[in-house]
Amino acid sequence: MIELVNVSKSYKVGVKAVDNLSLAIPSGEIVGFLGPNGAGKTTTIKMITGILNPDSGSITINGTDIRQEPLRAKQQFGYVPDSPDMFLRLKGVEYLSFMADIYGVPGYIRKERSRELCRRFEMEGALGDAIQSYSHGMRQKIVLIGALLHDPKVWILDEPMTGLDPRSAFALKEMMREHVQSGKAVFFSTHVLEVAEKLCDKVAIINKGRLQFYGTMQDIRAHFAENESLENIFLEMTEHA
Amino acid sequence: MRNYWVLTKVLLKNLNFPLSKDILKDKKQLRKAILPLVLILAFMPMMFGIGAIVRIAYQGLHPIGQEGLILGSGFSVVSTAVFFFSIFYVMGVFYYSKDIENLLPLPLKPSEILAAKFTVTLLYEYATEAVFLLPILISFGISSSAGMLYYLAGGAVFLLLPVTPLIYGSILNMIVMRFTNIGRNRDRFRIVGGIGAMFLALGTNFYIQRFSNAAMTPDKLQAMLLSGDNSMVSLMSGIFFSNRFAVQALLAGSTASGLVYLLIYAVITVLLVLLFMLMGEALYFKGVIGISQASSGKKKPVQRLYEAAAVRKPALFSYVLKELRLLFRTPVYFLNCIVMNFLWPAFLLVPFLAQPELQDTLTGLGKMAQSESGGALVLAVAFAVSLFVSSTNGITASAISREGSNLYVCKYLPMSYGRQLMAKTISGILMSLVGTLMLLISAVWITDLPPALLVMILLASLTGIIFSSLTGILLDLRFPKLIWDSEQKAVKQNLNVVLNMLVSIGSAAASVSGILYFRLPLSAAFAVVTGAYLLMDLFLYYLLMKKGTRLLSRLQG
Repeated sequence: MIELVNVSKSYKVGVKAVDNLSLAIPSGEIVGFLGPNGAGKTTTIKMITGILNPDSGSITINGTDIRQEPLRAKQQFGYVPDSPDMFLRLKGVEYLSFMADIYGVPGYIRKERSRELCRRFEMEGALGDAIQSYSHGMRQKIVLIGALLHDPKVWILDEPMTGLDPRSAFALKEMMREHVQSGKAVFFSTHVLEVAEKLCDKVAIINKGRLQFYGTMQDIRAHFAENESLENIFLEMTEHA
Repeated sequence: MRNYWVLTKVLLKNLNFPLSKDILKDKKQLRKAILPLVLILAFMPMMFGIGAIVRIAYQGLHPIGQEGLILGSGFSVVSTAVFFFSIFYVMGVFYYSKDIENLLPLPLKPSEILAAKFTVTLLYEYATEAVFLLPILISFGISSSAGMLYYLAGGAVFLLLPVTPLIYGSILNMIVMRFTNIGRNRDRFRIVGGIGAMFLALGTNFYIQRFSNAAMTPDKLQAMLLSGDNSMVSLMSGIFFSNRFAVQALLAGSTASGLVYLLIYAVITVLLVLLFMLMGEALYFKGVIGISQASSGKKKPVQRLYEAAAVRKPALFSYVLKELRLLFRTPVYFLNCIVMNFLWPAFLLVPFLAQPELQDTLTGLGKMAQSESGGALVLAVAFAVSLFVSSTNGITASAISREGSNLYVCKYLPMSYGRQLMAKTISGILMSLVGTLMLLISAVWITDLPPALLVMILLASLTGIIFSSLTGILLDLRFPKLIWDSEQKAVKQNLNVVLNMLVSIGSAAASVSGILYFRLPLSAAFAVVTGAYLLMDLFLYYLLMKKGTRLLSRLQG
């Protein structure tokens, strides 16, 4: 479970990238994070993962405050950033080994898990090659596998579907479902409204740093005309803000 | 031509020169500009030193009419240095820079890209050249009370001088790159090839000089020396043959022949530029296309890969391994941070192998090292050298900058900032230790230093290496260069590396002069140096853990 209480962040004086945001992502649910470009999605995710410090407010992951006990909090989640271009000179297998060492995954578990994840994402053939030789989607997948090796309770994914082929996207969605069914949490940002609509238990819509809406798909439909598409609702919501 | 100008302008804009128009408005900009100023100030003593040497040499050589030797040898040294650095620069800027992938799809001729990149590289060479050549030219001018024309010609020579060695470096690189664009591991193959070719060229240069000098009998030499009229300058041959015209142009003063010499010099340089362009048209694209293409090795069975990944290593060890892998596999980092550690012994050994007479001097050195005070001197010098060598690889002084836009990865890994910084420092210490060991091994090969002294040197050097590694990473944490589009900029155009070299040179000089001033015997010198640096290392470590981690947490990649 992730909990943000009154979190604010500004890069420039007077302009808030994230404005007094409070949000609770409960265990057992997939929560989609929507908003137009520059709405504050990535800033929010970076604050949750400890990459950025908020100006005010508090963020806890499974009850551990990311600023008070950063290492314990960071052990709780697996994070996939929006750009997978990292460690390009390492081979896939070296990257996985590095991540497993940093997260302290025991030997027998990591072998099992890396085999399982690589099989599902069809990455077995590429493990011995340098990440630099991978396509965008393959890089996305290896970073994803690295983030999930330690079987984190919370998944935090920034635009995870970008660049994935249909089969891998399907596998990821399936895994997200399984993950929450075992009582864990998934929080991911996306631009693809259909994915959010079909996959998420709840969606949070943010615009200009402020939370516009947070609730289930039914809640949204109750708010708006019954048969309106999420696209129209999204456009309406982010226009008038 | 238009394309050339446009491209050069864009490349120059990308350099992020700190001196922009609104420098006074922006505090951050101002802080950035202070660093180069500090550097200029730090180089001042050296420049004055060079000037003083030139003045003394002039007083000795002018009466016998051979003052031209000063300019001749000065130009020769500067040309060789530019040639040496150009191998590294050209490989990084012409071949291994990220903008190549954006430039190749544009409708540009190879020579246009080359010319623009050449210009940018040349500007950098001017900065290096200024430190060495300006004091020579100015001090020579003052000593010979030269007129305005001398300084004008001097300016022209200053601008033309680095062109020739830079062209040599470029052509050499283009040939190596053209014919090594094959096979696996080509990155490392190419780098080793490039450096090998450089040593071959320098060796040839050396050989030609020796050969032409050997043709002179002592009698002839003496006659030449006595005849005055700067006749010795003609002995300056070798691969930088055109330098002698530059010397003559400056010596001729206000006579018309000076202008003629200068013209000859300029024409030769222009011809070389044309040759470079022509060769570039033929060679450049064949070497650069596919440069970023990663090759995959022999396929290991997947099962073996899982086995390999399943071996659990301590996190700190794994982090150090990651740092070293990236340093070894990224060509620009490999060139600047790794190869350097292996090159020093070559510099040490080449003169001795080429001139067997020096061997006697070394045997003397071995004898001297047996005595208490002589041993202290050897220890002091060896310590200073290893401190310097450690700072030149720039591994820790660019450790944060090298992360670039991926710095954020450090932030979400569940490893404390202190440990991550330690891992980065350790990778630097390890490679510096390799450099020092290489030097010691070659020293053992050519001299006979007592084993006890060797152990002392190694232990003292270790404290020095840790010192320079810690100052390096602290500097890079304070002034990291995180925004770059080519890895070259993270290491080669990173002032922290130069700054840390100055810190190391300064503290090495202080240590050596301390030992000499107090005439410490070997055991005392060892105890004082090791003790003092150990204390400083502890303090710097404390600083890194306290302030360094705070600096890292504030950095936003």
